[in-house]
Amino acid sequence: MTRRIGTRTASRKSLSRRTFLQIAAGAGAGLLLPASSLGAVAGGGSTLTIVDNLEPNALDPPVGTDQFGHPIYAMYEGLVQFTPKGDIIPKLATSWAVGSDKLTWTLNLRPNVKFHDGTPFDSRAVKFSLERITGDPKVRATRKASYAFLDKIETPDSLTVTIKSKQPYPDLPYMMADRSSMMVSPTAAKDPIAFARNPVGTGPFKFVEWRSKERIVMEAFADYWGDKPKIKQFVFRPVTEGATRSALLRTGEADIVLNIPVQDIAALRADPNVVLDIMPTLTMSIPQWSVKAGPFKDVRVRKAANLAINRPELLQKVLGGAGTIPRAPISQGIWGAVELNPMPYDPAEAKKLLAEAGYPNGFKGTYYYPKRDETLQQAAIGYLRAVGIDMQAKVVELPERLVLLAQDPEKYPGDIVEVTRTGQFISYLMERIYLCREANAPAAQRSGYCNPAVDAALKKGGTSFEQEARLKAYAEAQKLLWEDYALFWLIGLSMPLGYRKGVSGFVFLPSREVLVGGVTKS
Amino acid sequence: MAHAIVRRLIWLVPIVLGLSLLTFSLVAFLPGDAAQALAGTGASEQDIQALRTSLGLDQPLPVQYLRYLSRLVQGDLGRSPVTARPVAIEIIDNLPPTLELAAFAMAFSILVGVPLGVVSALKQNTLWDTGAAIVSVIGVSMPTFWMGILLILVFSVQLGWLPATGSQTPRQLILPGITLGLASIAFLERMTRSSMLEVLNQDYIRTARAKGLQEHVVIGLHALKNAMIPTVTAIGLQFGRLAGGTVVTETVFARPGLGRLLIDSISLRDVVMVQGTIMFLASGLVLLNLLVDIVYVYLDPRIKYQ
Repeated sequence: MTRRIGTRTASRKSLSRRTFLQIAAGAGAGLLLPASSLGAVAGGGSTLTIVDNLEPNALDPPVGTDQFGHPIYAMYEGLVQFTPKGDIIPKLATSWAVGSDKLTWTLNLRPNVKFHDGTPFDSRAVKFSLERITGDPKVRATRKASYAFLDKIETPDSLTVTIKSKQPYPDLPYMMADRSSMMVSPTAAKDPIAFARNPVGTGPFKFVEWRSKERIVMEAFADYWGDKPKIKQFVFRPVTEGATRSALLRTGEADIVLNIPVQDIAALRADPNVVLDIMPTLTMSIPQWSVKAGPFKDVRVRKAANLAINRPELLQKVLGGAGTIPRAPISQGIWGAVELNPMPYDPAEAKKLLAEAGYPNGFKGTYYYPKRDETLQQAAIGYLRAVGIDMQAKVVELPERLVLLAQDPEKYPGDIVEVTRTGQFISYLMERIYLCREANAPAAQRSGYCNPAVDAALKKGGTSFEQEARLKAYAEAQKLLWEDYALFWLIGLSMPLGYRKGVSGFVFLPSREVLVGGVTKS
Repeated sequence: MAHAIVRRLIWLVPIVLGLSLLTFSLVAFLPGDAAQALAGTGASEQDIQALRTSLGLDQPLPVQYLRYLSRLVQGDLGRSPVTARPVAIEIIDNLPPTLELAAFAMAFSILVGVPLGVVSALKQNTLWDTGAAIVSVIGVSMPTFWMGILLILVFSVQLGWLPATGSQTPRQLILPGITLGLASIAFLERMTRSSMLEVLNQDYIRTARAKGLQEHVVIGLHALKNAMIPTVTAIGLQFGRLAGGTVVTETVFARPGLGRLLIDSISLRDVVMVQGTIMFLASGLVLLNLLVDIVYVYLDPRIKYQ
């Protein structure tokens, strides 16, 4: 091809231009060729793929701030494990008992258990796993404060461990079931930073690879002490976009998908290859108000707000059924939660109560909520407005909301700040929300709630070692709170979970984690 | 020319300084307390304080900025407080899939956009032209996010032809590449069309035709070549738009990449990672713009930078 253009003689420049275009084209084509073509797309009976919304920040049990525990639960085990009902069952500890001093717990460990790297699981590993949470500053554990109870851990022999608490702590076995206290290999976890990307536990699956933002691959651990997994490979994939997650379930690229968007529930129910379940979780939306100042100081106003909400309608029309109507100040599915009567929907009574409390024309305030919960919270605002509690809607994201939640209760009279509450065992959860000291502590979420009768009941429940007495005390505390309309128990949140037909044997914990050890796939 | 390049390079210093100040303030003046946000809802006051100290957030703002700057100068983008990994490593991990995606999208939009533009210019005010205009309007007005979901639903869910997500095989590049490239098609099509029209009215085209050259030589060699100059510049600048587009595309198609890294870091309140990623992306764009300016001079000898 001739390349003379007009009469211009800038041949050198013309050459450069041509070279440039050739290089550019070459570079473009080069990039198109894939760097790797492994082509390992999910499928087949031997690989199970779970898709959830976020990638874990680290695969080290105590280092984690969110619910993305599926790979953690596949690779690690605790001494004790929660059941879907909130009870605890033996796992790496076969039995446990507290001594007569109410402080020293003796746990017997399961024999012949090995970590994936061959390190034997023994009392030394227990001591190492628990002490690193508070003892090693390089372990960026998010729940250090929950381990403040720890006094001393001793290892009388390789299969016995004693844990001593500073104060009597009847919930110690529950704490040992928390994800943060799962057992890690003392050999592998010496360097916590490297360990976070190269996890080694005792679980049914062992780590293979972690491709950033794409997939975490695990394979069945041949030397697992319990029932060996029936699938060979377990893949966890983080997919941020909800509509994409739903699509992956329909194409079969995923076997189990969590956090299905409400708007996709109907379409997935209609898909013959998919089963869609709505699973209750431990999370409840309990928007916070100040009980110390302003209108919500008055129990009649708090009652009016609670009666103003048409929860069944909210549940069906806004959440597509993916929720539960609160029956107690904490979620059902936590050991010790009672079933009280749900708050009735009674706008006429709500208006009357407001008038009695001195607000015949209602009052104004600001309602802060996150963007993610927009439809739900706007619906709540609508119900409140209908009885005269005129809330101005304001979207604020978590960092700002945390500051609002922790502010002095005197500073936000008549405002409401949305927050969801979750917790796996009763003392931890109830004390954090309802105990006078906690509800007024400057770092926590401060409703300013303080009720000596509730405090007494919580204290009794939190220190007694008699199950019956504890249940009674916690039931008492819940009833008192319910009758005092302490907080704005809006709605319990459920998890829309979908899976391919033929997948069975997985366990969904209401803490939003899927256990895959027993999964089969046909 | 060399002078001009050196001068432009010197100009980069204040620009990058400004960028660093922007990324720093982005985090420093964000509502809320970064340490508290990072610690989460269950943290005690001591936990939050410990995080604050380890992040250096207890220092006065100017000190924080100077520390940040001195780290930047040493090429250290910091270490994520959430994942404990160096930000630079995360960026290196996530850069290749983004480049792959951007290159595919660019190639796709050039291969479709430029010929469409030429056709509409040649067949000005015909059905062809209107058709191309409709394609570009659709391409430019469809939100990337919506387009992506639509393509997934049609080609992955209904037809089952292509995988919806992932990044390990070339097939997994097709849907996100098309999604990202669509809006650029419109832009390139309009650009090529108008510059083609301008060139076709020039005297030398008439001369070329008058001396009996075949029409495809007139169009392909004489007209298109000159019409491409503004288009090539536009292609360079499109990379800026693509960088923004990858954020949405990578999220929808669950691909690893810088855009996804940014979005996920925001969800995890990982301030250091957000800062580092934005700094990297913005500096990359500044450099790219410089490159476009330089290339422009080579392409069009009439242009001179003073």
